[in-house]
Amino acid sequence: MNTKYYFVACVASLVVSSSFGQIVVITGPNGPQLSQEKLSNGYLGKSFEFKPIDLPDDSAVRDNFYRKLAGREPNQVRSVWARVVFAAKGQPPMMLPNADAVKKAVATDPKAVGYIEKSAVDPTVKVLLTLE
Amino acid sequence: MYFGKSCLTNAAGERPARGEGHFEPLGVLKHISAVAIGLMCLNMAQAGEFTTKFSGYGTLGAVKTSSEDAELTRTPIQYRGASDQWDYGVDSRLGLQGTAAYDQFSVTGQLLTQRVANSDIRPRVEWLFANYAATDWLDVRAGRMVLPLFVLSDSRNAGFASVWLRAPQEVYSLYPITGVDGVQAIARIPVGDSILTVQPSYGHTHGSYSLSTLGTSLDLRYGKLASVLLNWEIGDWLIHFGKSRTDLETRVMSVPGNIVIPFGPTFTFDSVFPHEGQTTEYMANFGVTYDNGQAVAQAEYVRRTQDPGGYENAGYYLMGGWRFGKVTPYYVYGHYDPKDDGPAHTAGLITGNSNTIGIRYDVSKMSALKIQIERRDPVNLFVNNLPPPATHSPIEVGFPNQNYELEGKKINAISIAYDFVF
Repeated sequence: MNTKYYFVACVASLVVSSSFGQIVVITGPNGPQLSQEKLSNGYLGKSFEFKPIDLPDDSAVRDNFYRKLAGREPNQVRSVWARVVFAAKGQPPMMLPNADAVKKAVATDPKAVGYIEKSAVDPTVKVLLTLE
Repeated sequence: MYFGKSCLTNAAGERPARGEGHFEPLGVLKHISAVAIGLMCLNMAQAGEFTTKFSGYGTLGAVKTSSEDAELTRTPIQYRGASDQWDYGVDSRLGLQGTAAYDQFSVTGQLLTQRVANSDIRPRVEWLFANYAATDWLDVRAGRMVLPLFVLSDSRNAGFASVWLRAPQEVYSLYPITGVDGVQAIARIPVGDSILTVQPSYGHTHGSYSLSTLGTSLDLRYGKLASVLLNWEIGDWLIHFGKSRTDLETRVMSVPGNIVIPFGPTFTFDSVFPHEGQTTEYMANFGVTYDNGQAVAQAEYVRRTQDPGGYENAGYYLMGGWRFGKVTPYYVYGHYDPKDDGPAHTAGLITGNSNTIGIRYDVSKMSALKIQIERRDPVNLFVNNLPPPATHSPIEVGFPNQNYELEGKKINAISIAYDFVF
């Protein structure tokens, strides 16, 4: 496992059609245990029990993640967050550029939760949930 | 977060044609462009523990009705609305929001520009408050904040966040105020996998109803305003309760001692506005929403009473929609119902319904185009109506947002709006 591999995986994830590949929700080794419902609450701005991390706007993994986790299309996710932000009830998840950055963030912050393609999982992170 | 080129290009692409209205879309676009570019530069400057976030929302809208005798407004604070000529100022608006945060402290401000009681474009500080995040689940705030009474009272100006084109007037026009100056707490309590949000507020505020028939407005001063909101979010469901009480002082602004009403008698100030003065007002609100990603439904009931005064009215709506990919057709039924034997009834406020169908089309991840057709009774929702006949009593003139010529007639309206966030 080397950096080059992650880079390739990340680029591939942006290009490859959305229906391919499983997405996993990850935390650091000491991260919280969260049900799919609680993950959905956090990623849709209903609660702030953990720090959700997003992939970039144009990421197919991101779009698929929201479809699989909460049954929401990208524009609906925007709509939901507009409702939260313009109600002054919170700010949307921090956005990181790729799976590598997400893994680093969850490994160092025990409250952080991220999602990556299953193929990018390594021993520095703990898999909370696999989204088919 | 929400910002980028789509704001500028999309806004320009949807520029409405110049009409006869006073609203100047080009002026607003320049305003949007300048501010958006400024915000982008600021957004890039964030570093370290101190963070800043800027975002905004806007709507470009056009609306036209079947009647030249009354004008359709979006909120009761608007001094003019849409009649049988296209109007571009009823729905058009621009909101800019910024948050600066350091550790658990943050300051949030929102500037909203829209047609109000005396201007087509008047920027107003909608919010400016300091927030302390005491824990993950508790925020404490002070300053000018959202007054959270309705299901959507906080985000209703951000059209992109809603399926419909315009929040139903039967419920949302009952209250002209949207904010409170004071203190507030937001507690998000996990109950199993669901979230119970409790949001108490205390403070004061003021608002105004446009009484444009008389060339004036009704100034409302709310003191000792206490409210609490309960939101229970269970999966795809949201159950909402809101309750408030407030001291209310009503004054008519900028009017000489006697008001001469065209085609009618001259009334004294006191006889025209018998409900002017002090009272205590209560609001109670119940709402349910369901959204599973494809089906969306929402219902809300609100009741407003004053004591003394006896003024009492209620409204509700039922909304349903279905998402077919980017296209979401929806239907809204609205009902407005003043209490039968109260002063509202004496004043001629009558029960009315509305039926609305519309379509939301998601143009991009950050913008949507909506078209809506409605058919409604012309009750309590219109301004700039014909003056009441001389045969009506002074108390009836006290509610001039009522068109006696139109009683019993239906009014149709068509609206087009382009909503965006950035």
